[in-house]
Amino acid sequence: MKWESWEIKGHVLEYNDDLHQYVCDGIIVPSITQILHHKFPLKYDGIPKYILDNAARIGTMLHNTIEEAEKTGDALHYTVPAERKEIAPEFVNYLLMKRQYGFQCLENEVPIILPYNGNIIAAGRLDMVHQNRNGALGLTDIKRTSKLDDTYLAYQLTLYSIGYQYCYEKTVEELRCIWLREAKKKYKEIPFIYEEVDELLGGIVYGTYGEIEQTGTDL
Amino acid sequence: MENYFKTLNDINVNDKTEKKGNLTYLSWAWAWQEIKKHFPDATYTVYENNDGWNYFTDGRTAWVKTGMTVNGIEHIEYLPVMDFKNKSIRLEDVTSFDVNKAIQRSLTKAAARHGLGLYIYAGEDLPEEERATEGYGGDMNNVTHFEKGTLTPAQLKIIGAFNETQKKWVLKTYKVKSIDDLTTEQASAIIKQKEAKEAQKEAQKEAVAQ
Repeated sequence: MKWESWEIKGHVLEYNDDLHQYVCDGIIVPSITQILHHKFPLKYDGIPKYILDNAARIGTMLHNTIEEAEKTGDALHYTVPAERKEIAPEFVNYLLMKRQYGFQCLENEVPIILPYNGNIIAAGRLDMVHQNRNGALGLTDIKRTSKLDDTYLAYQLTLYSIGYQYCYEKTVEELRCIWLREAKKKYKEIPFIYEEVDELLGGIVYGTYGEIEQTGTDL
Repeated sequence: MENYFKTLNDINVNDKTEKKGNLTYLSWAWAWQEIKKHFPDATYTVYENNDGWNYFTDGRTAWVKTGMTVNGIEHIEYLPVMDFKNKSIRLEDVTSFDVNKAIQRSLTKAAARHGLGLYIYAGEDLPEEERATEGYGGDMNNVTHFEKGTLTPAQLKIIGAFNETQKKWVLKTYKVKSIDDLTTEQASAIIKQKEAKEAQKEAQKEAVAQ
């Protein structure tokens, strides 16, 4: 069984992609997506599994393509492999927005651990760390859901920003979402909602929420 | 004068426990009797919401809030209203009986915060994975069940560094021939249990020092 591993702030974080499982310092911790499931328990309810599976497959393909392209250092000239042609229009839109809004991708799939009251309570990997044209550091989530859920995104990215700032000791100045859905695209500013997130985490840690259910990958 | 926490923590509760499902329970009535025996002015509170109900809800599930004051110190405990599998009950299915059970369990946990039977919650005498369903981290452990021999490299390193007595305990308790045979989930529960035990010892030391 393959476990990826990182050392972050004196903690050892391990991740298994097949199981979507994080282990921090030997103890299983939930993913950020599982944490969000408390607040949004019905997010994907009623959607047939085959649709969710297909959405996850295409989403992963798009994320991987963007990551690979950015790793070349010259994403604008990256050619999408033939076997991934179904996401080619979305990738082209990504490049168009990159040019239009002038952000730079600094890192992809960055692992983070989330502290709360001195304990590590969750872990995750954020889609992208970016720098805008004014030099400000930000976090980006790439979505290709049929509709954008602004509240979900605010919770998700605020959680990531808390984790990222703790792990890497850099200040996150803005949160963004890149929405790519076939021919449609959007580059959206997402607010920080620290108070609401603190309330959510307090509810989880102090037991006002029930069990955490296993959820699939974030779409 | 002896520290009040130590007085309660030194009481052996082993023969006052009962196993239900995968959790070990301490009798609420007995716990309260012991507390009052040692501290006659002890009191407890079942907190109510703004409408005067003895439970709280977010519209999906419910929880209770209790407090126990011993020696002038109040410890507050929150506990979800759970079914026999220790899963939260949906609000529409919660009965007054479920709430009453949750209140009693919550008060027993509050008593443990004062020392009485605390080691049960720290997992000191729990041979299986009871700790896995206690509290926050426990909920995580319930979500997946991994196959034998899937512990992570870090888990192997941590448990590999246990002393011989601890290792023997692990092998016997989890009925495995070697540490390598543990699952991710089991290894996680073991490490968590050890941390809880160490934290408890620290707390005891601090309480004694005060």
